[in-house]
Amino acid sequence: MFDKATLQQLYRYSYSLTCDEHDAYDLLQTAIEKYIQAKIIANQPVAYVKKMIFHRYIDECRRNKLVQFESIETENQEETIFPADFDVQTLEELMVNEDMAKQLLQSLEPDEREIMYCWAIEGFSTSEIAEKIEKPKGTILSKIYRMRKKLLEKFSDNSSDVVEAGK
Amino acid sequence: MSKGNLKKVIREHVEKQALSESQLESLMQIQNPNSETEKQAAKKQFRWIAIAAVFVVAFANVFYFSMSPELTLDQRIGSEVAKNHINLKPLEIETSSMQAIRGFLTELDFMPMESALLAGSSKRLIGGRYCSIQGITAAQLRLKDDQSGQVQSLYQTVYDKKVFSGLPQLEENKKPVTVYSKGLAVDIWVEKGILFALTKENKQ
Repeated sequence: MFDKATLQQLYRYSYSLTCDEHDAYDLLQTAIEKYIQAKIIANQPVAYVKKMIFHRYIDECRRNKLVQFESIETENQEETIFPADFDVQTLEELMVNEDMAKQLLQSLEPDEREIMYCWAIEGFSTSEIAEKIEKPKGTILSKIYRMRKKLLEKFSDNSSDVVEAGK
Repeated sequence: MSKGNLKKVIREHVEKQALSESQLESLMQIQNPNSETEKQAAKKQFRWIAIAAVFVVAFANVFYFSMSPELTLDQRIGSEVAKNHINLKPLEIETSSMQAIRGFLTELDFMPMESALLAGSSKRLIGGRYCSIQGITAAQLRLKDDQSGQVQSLYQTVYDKKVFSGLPQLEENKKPVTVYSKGLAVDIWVEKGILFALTKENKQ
């Protein structure tokens, strides 16, 4: 049985994916119900439910055709589309306000949202994220690079909105 | 709106999100096996179990009674004799003479007789009437023990091998078989082609 603190943690994970309070609650409620009904005995229940939440979210996105499917080729190419000297630290150092952060989250793809959650909330390193979501580290770096680029482009209309470190 | 580094701002934004107390309670209730939903489910499950149990018991009864052997011959005789004795219907002839009994119960297919087992006992014949054992016409003789005052019934009918096979025969040095029914002991034996059944007070 999940205590209130764990439920809050799971809810925040759901929110990181959906960026919507109601959708996050629905997603969490459905996952908890399914977990209880299935009488699953997981070694790591929280991780297990998070996986359930993520898969359900992806399913819903597919149903609503919110996910742009990438070919295997594209995914493999991602490993090479970030500069060799790219430092994840540069993403962290971007200066934004809460509205901008929220807009950025909403503009991300579902898998990018999960990476953002692992990076910003869980505090995982790129290696840990790669291990957790079972993708090559290069793919993670590529996605982080793309997220940074997206953020800069999104707020390019007003260059003073986003301040890059050292600039 | 103040700015901060992306990681910090996103973390703070996400961490601000929280389930309301009612949402938390609802999720806790989902997990609680004693929640109303679960109780209702358990009730429903119990109802089905109860229905199933009724069917199982009914089936078991049918199975048991269909498969269990019928009462043995001596048990059937004992039961019938005990029942008749308890009813203690009025005598059709009151006499202490076996000869008088024979003269009165003329419709019998046999001649009522005294048993060697009762010879010299304190039991005294006081009368008789017609009856039947296992559908065969029989004589119900009534005896009274002068010492104990106990009234006993002695049933006699013709020994039909097809119907009464397996009962102990005195001529074969067998002892009467005793069966118990309705709180009475009933001794059953075959003697000189006659089936005897004698009720006794159960001393067990």
